[in-house]
Amino acid sequence: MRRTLNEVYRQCQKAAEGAGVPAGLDIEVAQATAWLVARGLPAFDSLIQGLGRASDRQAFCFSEVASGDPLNATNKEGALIAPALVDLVVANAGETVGRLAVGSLCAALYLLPAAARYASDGWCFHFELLGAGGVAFQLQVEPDAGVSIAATRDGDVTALEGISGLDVQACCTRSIDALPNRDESSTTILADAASLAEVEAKTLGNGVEVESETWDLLTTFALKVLVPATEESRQRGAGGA
Amino acid sequence: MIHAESKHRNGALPLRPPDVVMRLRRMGSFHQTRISFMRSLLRRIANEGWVLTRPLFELDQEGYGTVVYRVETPAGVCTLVAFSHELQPDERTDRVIAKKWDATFALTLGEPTAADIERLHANVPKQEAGRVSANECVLSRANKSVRLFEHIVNCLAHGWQPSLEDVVDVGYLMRTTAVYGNGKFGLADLPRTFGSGLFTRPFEAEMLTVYLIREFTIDLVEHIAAARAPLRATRLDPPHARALGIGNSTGLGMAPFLVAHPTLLHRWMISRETALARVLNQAEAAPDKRHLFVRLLQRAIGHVAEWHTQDARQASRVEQLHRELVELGEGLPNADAEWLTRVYPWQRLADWAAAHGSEELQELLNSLILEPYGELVDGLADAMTDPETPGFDPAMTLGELRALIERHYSWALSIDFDQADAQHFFWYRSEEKEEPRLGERSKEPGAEWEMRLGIAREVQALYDALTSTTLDANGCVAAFLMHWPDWRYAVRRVQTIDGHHYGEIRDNLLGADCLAIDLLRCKLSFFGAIKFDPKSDRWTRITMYQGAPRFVELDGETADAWALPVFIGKQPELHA
Repeated sequence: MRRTLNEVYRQCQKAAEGAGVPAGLDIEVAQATAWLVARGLPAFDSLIQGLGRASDRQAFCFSEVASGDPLNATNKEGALIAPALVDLVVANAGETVGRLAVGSLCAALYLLPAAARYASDGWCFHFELLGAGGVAFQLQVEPDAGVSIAATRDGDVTALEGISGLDVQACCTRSIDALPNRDESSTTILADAASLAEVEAKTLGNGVEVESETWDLLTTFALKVLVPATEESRQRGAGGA
Repeated sequence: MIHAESKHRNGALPLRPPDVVMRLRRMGSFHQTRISFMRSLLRRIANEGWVLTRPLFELDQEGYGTVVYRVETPAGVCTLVAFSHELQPDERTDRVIAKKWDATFALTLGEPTAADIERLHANVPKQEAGRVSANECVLSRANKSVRLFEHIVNCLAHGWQPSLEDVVDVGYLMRTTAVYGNGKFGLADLPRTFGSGLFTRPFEAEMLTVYLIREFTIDLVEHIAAARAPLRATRLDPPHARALGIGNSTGLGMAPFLVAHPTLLHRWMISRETALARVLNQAEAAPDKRHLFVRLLQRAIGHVAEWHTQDARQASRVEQLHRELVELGEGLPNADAEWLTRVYPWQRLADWAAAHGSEELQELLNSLILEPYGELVDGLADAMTDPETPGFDPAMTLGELRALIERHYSWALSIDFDQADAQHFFWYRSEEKEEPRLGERSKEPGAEWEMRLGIAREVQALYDALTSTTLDANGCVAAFLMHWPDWRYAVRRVQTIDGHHYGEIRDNLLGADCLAIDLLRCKLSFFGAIKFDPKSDRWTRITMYQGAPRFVELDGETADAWALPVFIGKQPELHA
């Protein structure tokens, strides 16, 4: 069934809240999911996987953040930790370039909407993703040029959602010149700002096709935030009729 | 007491501080202003010369069927598709849990085809249970005020006009019970609605929908009357038609909106406060401004005299407001009254009201004094939209975050949440259409899923956590949230409010003394509603567009001449 972006957002927010995702993070995860699917990028599988583990705090909490060492994201849910990772890159930037190394990340596409939130404040991001077998992707987010996704060899964006164990080198800066250059000879653009914007415009006109199985899974989580109705709540809770 | 002269020496008047404005009781005393959304919409229609036509009018003798209203604007066309249904008396309820209504509506972007209308006919009457498309941007429904509806049909069928008293006593032929937008049930997402170019301000599409529903209700009674007595029936004369607005029942569903959208609330509030400050800062009032104000004051006395409510609290407030207005009117009998001719007259008036009047009076006067100053005020209506992407500073230190809390939330830190009264209520979403409801924590189940309206409690808890944390005060917010993502909402909230001072309601919405009705009134005043008629402390009836010119009557003069309408008594004209 086709759903509007606001319906996607609201359903995902309630599902995240119902799954036990902390307040605020549930909102950002839901916004990120709507952002991704609006652009035709895969997100629901990562989200549902994350929600399924949200009752385990280890899925989204880091016990220590030592500067210089790669953060170990093993057993963490990328959809739930992406906002915090991007926050940390920005916090590391100061007046120059912020860097962060993350090991064993999944659902790396969720880095994009988290970075895009900062792009409206003038931040530029570059993420190098290296997976097993040499598969590599580059994600770039720029204030004016928007988002682009590139790969060093055959690959598609859909596959990226399913790849776990990615080693990530992230950097951000307010100066686009300080970002690493993409090696155009060895990478292929999988999605650029123009194509993503085109998809987004179509989404606003037609909505997003969401499989009923996916929606039902989200509903299972979302229903948890609704309080059963009683005649008393019908009268007292809403002030009567 | 604020001294106008000292303000003058120091430059422009400051805005009223959030500690004064953002209190529930004051927000629950707001009235319509020139920049309320209904007002700014009618100005826009008049200024841009929008044209209304009725390309389809297929109603049977009883008034059931389909009507289409086409609105042509410089930016394009939108269309209201209205369906009128037969409804049994026992099926008529204004609650969100209703399943049938007297009339249902969709506002479409562009012109619907016959196939679109068929599709809408199959879905719009079902409302939440139906499905619309991104070509529609508003979905709504309304129920008849049965007594007045039948009375007016009967009068018109006999060739009579109804008594104005009967019309004004109710004030509307139908009341809307929901006006949905922004992607709900398949409607266009907000970026698409704004992207159409037709709508540029908050809730503008919704306000247009209600205005067109008003046209529909008047057309409907005239049609039924003509069907009953083709040779004898008459139409509503213009004064009677203008006295009919659209009623609305609003419950708790509206309350969480103001808390969930702090940056938007800030935009609304700061626009209103800026408008007020610009007028208060006028060193002198020109004669035409003074004349208009005095006429408005007289009109306000009549308007409040026609504001009836059964709610004891509100009735008492209205009665006091009327007394205060009469007293003020006696002191300001004409435009040459001494007060108005002295320096900074509006500031003096505001100071007097703050010292001697109720908050109802203070806020009514704040609305009143904006009326003569459209040139200073009206442009602010364009500043009330917000992209709602507040920045976030992950490098902020925990010490800085604490300082922000101390600066903006001292009111919250002073609340003792160990007292049961401080957490008396919890807000929750019912499984019935997700209707927001209010429960008593000690008596009702569901508190574990309460909605996040307890901002004061949340921020106070964050403050305590920051105090007790082993992290260095020089540690950054980003690292803090890596460890404790549970505070993400509160941290972002505090940072957001630092740049949006009017974005937070500075009262405890969980407290035993919280009156949800104040939240509703605040939001409804920004819509432009009048005659608030609370039916409990959790829902209210209001009237929208009562006294407003009909679409064909709109022009540069009439579009703003309907503030504080009076119908029974003598109504001072606002334009010479």
